Amino acid sequence: MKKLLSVLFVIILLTASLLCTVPSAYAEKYSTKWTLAPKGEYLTHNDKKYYPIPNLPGSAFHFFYDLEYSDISGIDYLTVYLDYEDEEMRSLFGPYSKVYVPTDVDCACVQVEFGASYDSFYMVYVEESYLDEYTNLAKGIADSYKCSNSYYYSLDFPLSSEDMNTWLSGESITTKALMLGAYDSGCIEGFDKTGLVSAVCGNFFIDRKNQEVYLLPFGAIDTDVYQWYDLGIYTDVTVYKLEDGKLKDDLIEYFYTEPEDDLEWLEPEEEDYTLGIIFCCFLFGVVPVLFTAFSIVMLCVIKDKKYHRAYITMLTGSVLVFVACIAVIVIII
Amino acid sequence: MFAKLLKHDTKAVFKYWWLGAAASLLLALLGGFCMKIANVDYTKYEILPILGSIGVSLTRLGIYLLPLFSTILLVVRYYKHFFTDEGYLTFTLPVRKNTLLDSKVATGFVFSVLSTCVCLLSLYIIILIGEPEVIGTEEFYYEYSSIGHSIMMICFGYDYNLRFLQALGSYAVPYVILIVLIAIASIIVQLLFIYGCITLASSIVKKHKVLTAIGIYYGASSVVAVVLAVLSVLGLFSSYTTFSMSYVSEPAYDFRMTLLLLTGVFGCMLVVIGALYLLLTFLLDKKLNLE
Repeated sequence: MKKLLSVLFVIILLTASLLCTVPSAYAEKYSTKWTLAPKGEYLTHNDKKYYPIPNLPGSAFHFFYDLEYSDISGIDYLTVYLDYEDEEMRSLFGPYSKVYVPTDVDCACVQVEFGASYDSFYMVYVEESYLDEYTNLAKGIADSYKCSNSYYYSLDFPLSSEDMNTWLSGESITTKALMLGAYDSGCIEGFDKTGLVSAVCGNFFIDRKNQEVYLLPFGAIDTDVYQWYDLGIYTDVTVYKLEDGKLKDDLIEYFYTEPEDDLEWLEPEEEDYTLGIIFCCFLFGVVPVLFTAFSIVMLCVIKDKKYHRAYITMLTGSVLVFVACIAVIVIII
Repeated sequence: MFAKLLKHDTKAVFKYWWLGAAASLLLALLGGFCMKIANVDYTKYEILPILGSIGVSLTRLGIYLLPLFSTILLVVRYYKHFFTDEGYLTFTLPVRKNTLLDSKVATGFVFSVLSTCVCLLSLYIIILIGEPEVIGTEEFYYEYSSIGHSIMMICFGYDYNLRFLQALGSYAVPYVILIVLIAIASIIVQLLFIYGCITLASSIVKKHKVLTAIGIYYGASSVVAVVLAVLSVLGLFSSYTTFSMSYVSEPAYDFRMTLLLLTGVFGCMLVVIGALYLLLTFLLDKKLNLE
């Protein structure tokens, strides 16, 4: 008994030690101290500085919006609590602000969630040496682009920066944002060198009837307000006509083609009511007929009148059920 | 003869039932004052509204016990009148056994309806004393329909709501008729079911008839519950839901489906009533055991 207890004690001790070392080793590998400078001017981590991307008109970083869909983006991330250099920021944002740090890739961006409740907000901080690249990305200048189609979860139509420049050199038309509401639209996202960070840099609009495509680059919108699709309807916008015939045809075809095997699991399965219908017909059709026949037979066979009341009641009930069943079927058909 | 039997059965049950009804009404008065206390604002004795709310809950619970009390009286009457020494006299009366059974069912129906009416009246008294300003408003119907809703559960959960009746339009009258018929049928089914359990127990055992009857009642109830569960798993009720709830959500709601389904329900209840009545008649006729 003593030996058994000793062995158990040693196993528990070993397990506890192992469990304690794992977080330490993990923490060593992912040094978790991210410190916010006064006024949120920059973040410090491992002697590197990360500066925020300014909220440029029409810009939106998608990388961290995809954190919720990490199965699609394939990026794993670590969540650490933010430290502060001064008390002013700590009292402003509280002790539970978080930094989302990608663990699997060498990424130059991190996202900070300030606050910890329903009114928290996010900002992207970029490592100093990449700041110009991602600021350009926020302005809509990227190495590569992809277009979405009318199935929102698909973003597969590639555009090179040369294609974009060609597009932007096409005929420009100034119109009211309202007029674009008549067309189908999709978005264009610019990607960084790694291909993992993207920013939406514009919308495209398809005039299906006339087979024309127009680009609305967000970087050209001269407003101070962050906008997505929510343009004021009387805002003047300048769109660019896509004049490359082949690119236009390919984009239109891609836009209206349903992707194959794409997230079919999201579609709810159509319920099969066959068994239920068969069973209903049996229970409310066949069974009442049997009861009716049984009641009629018993009324004729049993002479003792004290049982007749019961058979008449059963007969009435089964006839009512049968008639209701037939009527329901007639209405449905 | 049926009238005489009914009169005697009614008197026998009423002898104790009125006590329960009076208690229910007294609880209603108490509940009304508790509700008044519970609705007091700005009191320095903060415990008062809490005590008032507890008082209202307890009195309502007491009021809801009246139907149970009524059922117990009916069951005791049935058992004593048929299956104890009194049964020897009962079955020597110059009436058919069917008529005796009919009298019991009719008495049970009368007191079930009376108990429900007293419950509703008691709830009304609570509100009349405690919160008279809500009477006639929509809030009153929500408050008042709590017991009405349980009655209307046989209508597959449709809210007993004036607006719903207005929405029914020309279908309102047949709908109400069917609801009333189903309510009557459900009371009769419940009575026949209980009487059937007692009769079956009395037929098969000589001792411990009451315990056996309780066992048969719970056993049979469990079997019914299992059958209904199996039916729902096999898609019976999902088909119903598809056929009717999808209609409810459509602007052009087809009330015919509701009426037809209610007709089907009523028909099923009639079949059950017939089957139970047949069983009881057979047991009383052939398997009566008064030893």
